[in-house]
Amino acid sequence: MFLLSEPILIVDGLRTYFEQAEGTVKAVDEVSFTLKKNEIMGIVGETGSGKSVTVKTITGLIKHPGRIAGGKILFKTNEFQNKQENGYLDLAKLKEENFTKIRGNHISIIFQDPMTSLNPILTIKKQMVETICYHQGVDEEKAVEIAVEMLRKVGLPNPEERLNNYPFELSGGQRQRVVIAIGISCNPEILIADEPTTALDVTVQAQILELMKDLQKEFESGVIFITHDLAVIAEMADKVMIMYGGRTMEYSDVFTVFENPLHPYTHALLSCIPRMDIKQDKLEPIQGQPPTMLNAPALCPFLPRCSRKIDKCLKEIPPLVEISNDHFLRCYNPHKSIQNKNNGGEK
Amino acid sequence: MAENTTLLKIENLKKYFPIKGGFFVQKTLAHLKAVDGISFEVGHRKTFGLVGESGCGKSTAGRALLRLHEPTDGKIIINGEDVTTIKEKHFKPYRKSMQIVFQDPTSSLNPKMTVGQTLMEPLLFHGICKSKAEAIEKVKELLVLVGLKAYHLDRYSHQFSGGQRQRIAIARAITVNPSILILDEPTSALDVSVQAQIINLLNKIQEELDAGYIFISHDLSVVRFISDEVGIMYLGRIIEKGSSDEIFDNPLHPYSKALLAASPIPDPRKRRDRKDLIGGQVPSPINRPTGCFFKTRCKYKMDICDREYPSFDKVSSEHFVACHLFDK
Repeated sequence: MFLLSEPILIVDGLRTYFEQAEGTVKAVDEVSFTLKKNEIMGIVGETGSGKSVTVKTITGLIKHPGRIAGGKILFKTNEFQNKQENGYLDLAKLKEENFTKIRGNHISIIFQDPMTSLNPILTIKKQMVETICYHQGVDEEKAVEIAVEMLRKVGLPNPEERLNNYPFELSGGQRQRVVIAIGISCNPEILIADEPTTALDVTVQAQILELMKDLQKEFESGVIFITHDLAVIAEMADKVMIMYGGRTMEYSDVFTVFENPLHPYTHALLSCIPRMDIKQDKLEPIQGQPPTMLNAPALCPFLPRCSRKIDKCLKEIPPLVEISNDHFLRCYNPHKSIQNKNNGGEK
Repeated sequence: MAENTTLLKIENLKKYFPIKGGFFVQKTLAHLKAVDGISFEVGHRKTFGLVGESGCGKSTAGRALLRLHEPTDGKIIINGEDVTTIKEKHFKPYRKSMQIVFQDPTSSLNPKMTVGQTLMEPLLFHGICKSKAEAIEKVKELLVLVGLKAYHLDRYSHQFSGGQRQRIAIARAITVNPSILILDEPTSALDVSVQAQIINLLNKIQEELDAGYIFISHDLSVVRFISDEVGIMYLGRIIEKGSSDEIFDNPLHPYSKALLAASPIPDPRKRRDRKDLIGGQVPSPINRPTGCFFKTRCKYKMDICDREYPSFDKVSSEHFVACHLFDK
């Protein structure tokens, strides 16, 4: 149906601002990326870097005092043909009441903590059937059938019995499997996972990551995977976007970002993480603290912690430029590219 | 460089929590064996890493060491003296030599106290500083030592970021010059860029105090970086113990292997095919399996695993493992 190279989601210059009494919090400021079918895009960033707000904006979950202050979220879909331009629907302009046609149906989102995203006083059956009936317009009997099928797909043993359980009767990993089952039950084109494994133990995390990879292949959907854990991203993603202070700092395929990073922040981030597979003598921490987003100056957010700042950085914010094929960078004084290592990436 | 003396020796430490029930008369129905006989040693300038998934008893072990939970059985030996059962008032001087840093600095610091008050309290309580003025000077020194500024003294904990708060929690722990520091997931609540700052700070303080660390964490990469010796816990027991390099480069226990295989590595070319991935859940610590606790998830399970818990055998000079595969 769609050409392989054609993106299903184009986010262009997205801005989400929150108006506070003390001033404007620019939680997301000029974030741009594209997502193709069959692709896992990872968004990495520290607390407050705007990664969660970015996906909440895409799924229309930003409420007052937040607002979309600019940019486009172009989504390839069959819904609202009359509102489309060039085959794309701009979700940034979509009214809230129309969003229910998109969210859950075409774009699903999975949150970090499965205990809070499931309703504690409803059985798994009620919660799954509700979603499936609403979006697919089937009767309850058919919906139960689909629910069992989905629970089997996410590897939950005895799905028929599990349906009658309440969330507290399941373990953390099982709950996250249920949330994923609800997320994929309408076969969405885009699945967004916001730190889906952060609350889980490593052995359970590995199970969930494997499950998500398998499901992505089976459903051929596009996945946006958010995490603060670089190791998880290295494991999962095809493309990686590094965010800092609400902005895209560097964005490329996973091999380029990990082996040939050019942005000083990406560099610093990779050299400050301890690794399990090799013995290290020293970690190089990033000095200073992450930025406050309130009334932030229109300069590079990494500037106060950057070791490569030049005079130009003090005057204006660098734009996001495509420095080589599919490698985007926001920096005036990036690291030098390592040529010989830059040839093994799977493009 | 480091002296080879034992600071702290733990022998067969146990902590059982009774599970009570009954309508009129409270009876003990069963025990939750949170920590069930662990033993290890920590020397000067050495770090012992205690690793495991949630519910394996690693935090309970840390608290039992300080007698924040009274141990059910076993021995805590500090500098050659058994302090497990001595009276609380005699234990006070030992509290001075053992301090703890918790995971979440937001909940472990009193929001109504300024940083100065928080740090001065132990100094005055333990009689390290005789007067308030002396204590203030000492607090200023401590703040600089942990990378904060002396003028932060009058601020409240909510005025700091997470990383700064953890620095304050560390400063509070080292006010009394402890020789042993128990670090219960001190970096789990922090961002990676700040985590590295705190790890380096902990290393610096260890040199300065000549202290021994017990580092409790579920994060294998941090444990590898900071620990000299590592013990992997499963359902209240240490199932494998050895030097950090031995454990990470040559894990023997099927659970250790699975744990290492499950931990992602920040290198996209090292994506694993997950051969050692284990399924299932950790069994309930109240109703543990008979024989080896790991047998329900182990693919090397043998007949003997049903019958008896494996002994903790030495496989090389720095490596111990509790698994029937390595029975002599």
